[in-house]
Amino acid sequence: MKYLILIVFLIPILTFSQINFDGNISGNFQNDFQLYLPDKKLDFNINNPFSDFPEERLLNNGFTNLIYSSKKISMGLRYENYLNPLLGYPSGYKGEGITYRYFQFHNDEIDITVGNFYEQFGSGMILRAYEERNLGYDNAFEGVRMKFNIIKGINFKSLIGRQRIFFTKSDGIVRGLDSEFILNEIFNKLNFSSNLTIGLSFVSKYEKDNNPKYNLPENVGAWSSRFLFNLKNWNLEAEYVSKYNDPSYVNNFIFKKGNAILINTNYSIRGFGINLSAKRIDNMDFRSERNESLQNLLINYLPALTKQQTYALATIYPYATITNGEMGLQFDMNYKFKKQSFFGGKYGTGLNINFSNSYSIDKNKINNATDIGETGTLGYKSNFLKIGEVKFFQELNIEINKKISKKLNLISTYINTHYNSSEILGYSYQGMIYANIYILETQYKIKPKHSIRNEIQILKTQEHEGDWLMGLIEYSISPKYFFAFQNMYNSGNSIKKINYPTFSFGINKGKTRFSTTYGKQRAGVFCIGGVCRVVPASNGILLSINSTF
Amino acid sequence: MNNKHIFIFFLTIHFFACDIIEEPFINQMNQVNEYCDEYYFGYPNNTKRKILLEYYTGHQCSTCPPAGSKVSELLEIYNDDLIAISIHAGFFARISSNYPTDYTSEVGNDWDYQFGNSDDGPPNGLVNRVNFLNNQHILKYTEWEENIINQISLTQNLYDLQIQLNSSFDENEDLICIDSRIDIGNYNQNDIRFKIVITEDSLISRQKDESSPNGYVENYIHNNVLRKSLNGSWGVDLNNQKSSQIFLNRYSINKNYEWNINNINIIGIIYDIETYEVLQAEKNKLIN
Repeated sequence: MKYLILIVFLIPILTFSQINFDGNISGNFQNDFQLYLPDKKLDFNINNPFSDFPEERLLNNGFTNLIYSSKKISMGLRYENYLNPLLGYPSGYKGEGITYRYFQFHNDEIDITVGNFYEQFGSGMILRAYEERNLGYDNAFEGVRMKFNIIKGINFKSLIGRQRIFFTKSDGIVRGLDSEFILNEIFNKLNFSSNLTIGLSFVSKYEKDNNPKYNLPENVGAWSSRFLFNLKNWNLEAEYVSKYNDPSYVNNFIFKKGNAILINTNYSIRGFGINLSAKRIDNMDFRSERNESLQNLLINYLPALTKQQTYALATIYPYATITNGEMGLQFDMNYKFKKQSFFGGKYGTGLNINFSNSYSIDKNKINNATDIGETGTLGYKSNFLKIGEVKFFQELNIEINKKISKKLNLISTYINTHYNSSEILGYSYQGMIYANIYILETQYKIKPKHSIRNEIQILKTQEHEGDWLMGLIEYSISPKYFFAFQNMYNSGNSIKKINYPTFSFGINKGKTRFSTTYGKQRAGVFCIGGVCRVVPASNGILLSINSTF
Repeated sequence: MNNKHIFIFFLTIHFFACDIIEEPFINQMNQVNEYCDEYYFGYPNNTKRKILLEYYTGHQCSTCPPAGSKVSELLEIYNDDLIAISIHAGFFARISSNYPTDYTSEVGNDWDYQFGNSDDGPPNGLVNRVNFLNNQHILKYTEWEENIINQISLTQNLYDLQIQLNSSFDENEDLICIDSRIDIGNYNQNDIRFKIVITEDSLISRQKDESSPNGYVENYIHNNVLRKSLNGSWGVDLNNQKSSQIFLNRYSINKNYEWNINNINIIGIIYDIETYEVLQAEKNKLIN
């Protein structure tokens, strides 16, 4: 392996040896250390095997990136250490090593990367390799990627590689081609008042058929087409993806084709913006190994189309994309009431309304003898435009941002959530959970560089764990220090009413940040963009250091 | 052809990489030729657990003959307890003008792909495929005996899993008929599969041998050579197994013209789907 790394780096260097190495080296470093402490109320201790209490007591996640870049070449590597991974991260990360290394050469016409790379075609519904460190998600490719610019306005990307899964790689090989035609650049003499870009992609994966039961496709292909049109303040973009038969563990080995469509339009002027998105996903789980599940080896990314919540209680019921079939929409509007108006007052008032929902798709039997989704069949028939009977998710967010004075700013939020826990999380919580969440955030500047922020949050629900209360107070001395205390209290829990207090403290010094948190973590599901991981309840001290250079 | 044409050709090759599968989507296995008469099994006499040694080799592997000798020695010692399969796969099993006989098989290649033995460098082997999940399954031939002893001492057929085999050959039809009876005993763990393969003994051809003055042995005897699977590379599910449940599976296959019917063995294997560990094995000479 060491020799392979050397070859990967040295051959391109020798090939392009006429290039002057006049670049610079940069990088960043981060390490998190968590010491876990027994907790009676959480029943979090070494004697309770269901509590995930680690025998090591101290766990560590970390990474270091080193990048050399010059005008025409760049190369880099990333060292990662999980000794052992923090609770909630996939256990497959246990270990350490160089997980990412690449060499890249580029000029005006061509861009070649060998080694590891991330990539996205269009919206990502056909191919997206990316890293989301907070989720422990990394599906980077290792292989070769080429980008070509034949003539102005026509761009091609081509790649072949295997995807990362923890410290190893997939058995499956992914091949991809993406083309993009920017019509305004191709026909620049016509001087359009609008812009139109068209894209076409094709992706296929190869995986050997070792399954005795099924006659499986070893090469699975998918194609997509997309466009982006904008006219003055309007934008309209859409992408349609179709995937050929791809029986897998996730779809119960049905041989039905998959497809997905995503449409997004927005209009914005000063003080007002509106966005409407719609999507339909049908059997579009696409992985480089057919027996994988969870977040492992996903080739594509299917967006959740819900608001990305940041307030603690609003993240208790996060939506995770249901890749086997869902359809939904999202509406988002921002409006700023002008200064000196009735609602605007002296400083103006910001209003954000967001509504999103997601339903199952229509599914019908292919014949009387075959159940819906029966393994080894075409699975089901679906009316493209008909909405299914099961509601997965619905959420209404109303946020008002009001500056009261030069020193005081208030943000109040109301969230109404319908959350089908059995369908989203795949196991029976409480079926549909209905929750109302009320949040008030206050930001107050005490004096220059000194500010105080607090949050009061209330979650009301009759289902699951019942009501929650949360309070936070944070004091910042910018740009160097911050101190925070927060407590979450599960007041409506009929079995255990538990407090989850945490204390945080952080220092920024130059390009280095050091922070520490002591307290309890509630059990739950943590999601970013519809991709989620399950986090167990714990208690402990987290030390974190990160630095860039 | 200018650069743009070459480039477009290069890009379009992607579009050929797609398979579209037509029905039936499920492999039709376990279909037996009508000329095969069903065999009715009696109660088994011997229910002890047998150990499976799968050793990976190749006729162009000059360090492999000592491993072959070791297998013969182990079969002598642990005769009643041990079943061996020789899998020719990977680089050292390739054919060439001096080594024209192809001993590789589809099932052997699939197993090699899964377990990674030829990548690890033959000779090596698996004893009951234990420790696959923690990647310590591949054993040097010097480690085989210790692991066989461990397996014998560890497992006195804990679950009482039983395989019975009966085979016959119809000369008129050139047809091999096999009946199997599997008794689940008191097994109640992970899902399991049943696999049935054909091996052949006494195949004589040239074998590289570093200890030979010529660097090869002209008339080397290859025993236990894996020839064919009768139910795919990974066998059939023994679904929803319940205590004492009996599975009767019947197979038939036309004799390959290269096979010497007197040297053919039938081997049945039960293994754990999750761990791949072999839980029971049985071997029958096709013609006793």
